[in-house]
Amino acid sequence: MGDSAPAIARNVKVEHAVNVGTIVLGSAYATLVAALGLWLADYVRPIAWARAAVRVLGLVAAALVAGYLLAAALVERRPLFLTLSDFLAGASAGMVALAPVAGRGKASPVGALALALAALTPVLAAQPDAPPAVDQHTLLYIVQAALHAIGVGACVAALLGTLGARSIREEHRLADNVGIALMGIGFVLTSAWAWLNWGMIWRSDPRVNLMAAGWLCVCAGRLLRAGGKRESALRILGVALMLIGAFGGDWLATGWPGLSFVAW
Amino acid sequence: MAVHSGQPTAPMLTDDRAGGWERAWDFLTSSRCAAILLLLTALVLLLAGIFPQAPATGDDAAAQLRWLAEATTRWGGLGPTLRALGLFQIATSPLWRALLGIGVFVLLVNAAQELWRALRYATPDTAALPIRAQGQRLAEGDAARVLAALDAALTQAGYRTRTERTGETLRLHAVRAGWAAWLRFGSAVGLLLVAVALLLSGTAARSETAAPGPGENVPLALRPGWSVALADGAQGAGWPVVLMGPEGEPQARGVIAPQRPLWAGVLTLHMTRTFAGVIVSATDGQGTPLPLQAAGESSAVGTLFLRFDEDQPEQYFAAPDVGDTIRIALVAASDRSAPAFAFQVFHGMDIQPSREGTFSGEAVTTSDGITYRFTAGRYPAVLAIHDPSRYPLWLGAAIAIACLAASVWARARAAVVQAVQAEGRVAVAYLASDAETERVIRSAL
Repeated sequence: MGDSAPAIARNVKVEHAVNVGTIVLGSAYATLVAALGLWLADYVRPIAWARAAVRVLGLVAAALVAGYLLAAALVERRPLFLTLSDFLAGASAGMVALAPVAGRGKASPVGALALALAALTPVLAAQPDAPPAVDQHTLLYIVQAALHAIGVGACVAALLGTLGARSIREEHRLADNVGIALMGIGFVLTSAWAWLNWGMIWRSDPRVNLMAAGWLCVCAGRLLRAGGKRESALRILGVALMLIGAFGGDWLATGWPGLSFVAW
Repeated sequence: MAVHSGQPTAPMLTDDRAGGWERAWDFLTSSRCAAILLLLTALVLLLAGIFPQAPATGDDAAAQLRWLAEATTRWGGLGPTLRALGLFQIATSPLWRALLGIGVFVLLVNAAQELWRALRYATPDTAALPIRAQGQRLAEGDAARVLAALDAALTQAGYRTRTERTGETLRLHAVRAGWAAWLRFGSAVGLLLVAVALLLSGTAARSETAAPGPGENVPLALRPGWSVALADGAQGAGWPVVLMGPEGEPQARGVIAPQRPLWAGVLTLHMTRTFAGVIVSATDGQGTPLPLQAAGESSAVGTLFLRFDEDQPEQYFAAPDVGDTIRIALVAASDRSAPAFAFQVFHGMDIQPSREGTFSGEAVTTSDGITYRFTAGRYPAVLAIHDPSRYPLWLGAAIAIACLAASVWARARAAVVQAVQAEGRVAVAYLASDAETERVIRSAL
């Protein structure tokens, strides 16, 4: 007979699955998400104390990320900004800390870009298990990723412009048009990036597909020029699809078989 | 729009494009039609976002079929229907092709419309004018003086004007930045090129995977007579490759790496991954090279190159002259580290190996006086793509973006104003291409 279960249990040295670094980085992300949520809530309906709270939360997130990166550099002796995701995590936290909280109907490009970077961070942190083998240290990769981030940032900026334009429509036509155009350029850049990386112009990534579908809905609403219920409905549908694509696409992708290609 | 009732009534400038075919033409060139197409495209993308899409796997049809079978099973009873509808491969589905076909037709009609409009914009009439505003007014005084005042106001606002008389009717044509009408034509042509390229891409694009070893020329079925070979000297993550033409002459030479393709006119070479490989040679006691024969090959060569991956982790070869059989197995491999191998040398019909060990990098082993040299390394797998649609695609995208961006700053504006003198009063009617032009006309009236 072998050892009894309690005896085995006594001999097993339990390893902590979660280390301090994970907790610090997780806290930074949680703080960042809270800041972004508050920022969005304030955008939709003004909250008196939101600006100060977002700044504090953003600064806390930035400090946690900086602490994590410094500790990793000192303890693990790895270089700072080892991966692009480190850079994006720090940059998005810092941008939220510095983002002005614009009033309703005014999209803040800094906040929108921070939101885009936050949405992109887990995407870029995901390593493809299979080809292509991405060399994260190449300048080309950083430039392409930055262009894509700007494209997504433009999506979010237009999305916020759309929300704001419900109340102050005419004043925001130009910003709205520019936002929609930038989104289009963002998708073209995404397409060019996919071509350069994998030789195909469109990878069937559910995140990008849903965001593009949302963008097309906003474009269709803009083309109708009805200014009424139909245009508003299409805008809201488009915004919803873009949000689902940006933040819920990963969840959708979990149901996909043969999944290595899903990661960017 | 302001309408003053009373006599005499203003002679109406009418849009006479309201017939049957004209009505269809108007719908095809309308914003409503464009919005419907955009919504249909959004629907297809939504489906592609909800249902998993088969990954492109080069020329590996078996891998794609395996993937499709797995995806079909996951969706249970609905799976076969979804697969039959092409919802797991939207990019090649009849739904997407049909939508692209309709899009090409509509864009063709729009391009023709914009071309016609751009050509006629220099001398606008009611047929060429995109009507966004129209109205009528009654004014006191002389028709010629009323039109002269309008002419002055429009000229001051930057419009180029021309007046013509037909009987009792005076007609004033005004155009500002008429050249900008070509931007709309350019946008339509750009989008048309993109749609045609996407339509062609599904049928014309071909790809093929090649895994050349050192000193090997791997023929490409995509281009008969063409082949790809590795050149000497890997540069970090990059590999120098040479694309050879039908006469054996180099067509392109350069370094490929992840995200760094080699463009060679009709072909593009992408590095998709690396695979583990071993170069093997053997010599006898006097240093004379021995021929080696890989399993499944009919002839022996002086130097063997063996490929390894997850599907083929072990390889056998023989040294026929001395009766040795050698097994090499991949022990550890990752894209970012040197591969490690285990080897066993069997002599004659022996079951037990006469020599065995592991190696990573270079290794030499001797068995019964025969010296075997192994050199392990990583080599690039190359995806060769022949896609003639890529040129119209990027050209179209560039034209569309440039024209759409330029049209934000420069917009063609035009108006036609008609004045008729009757009983001491002037009946004025106008058609304008936009609200700003209408504002200039109304302020002058």
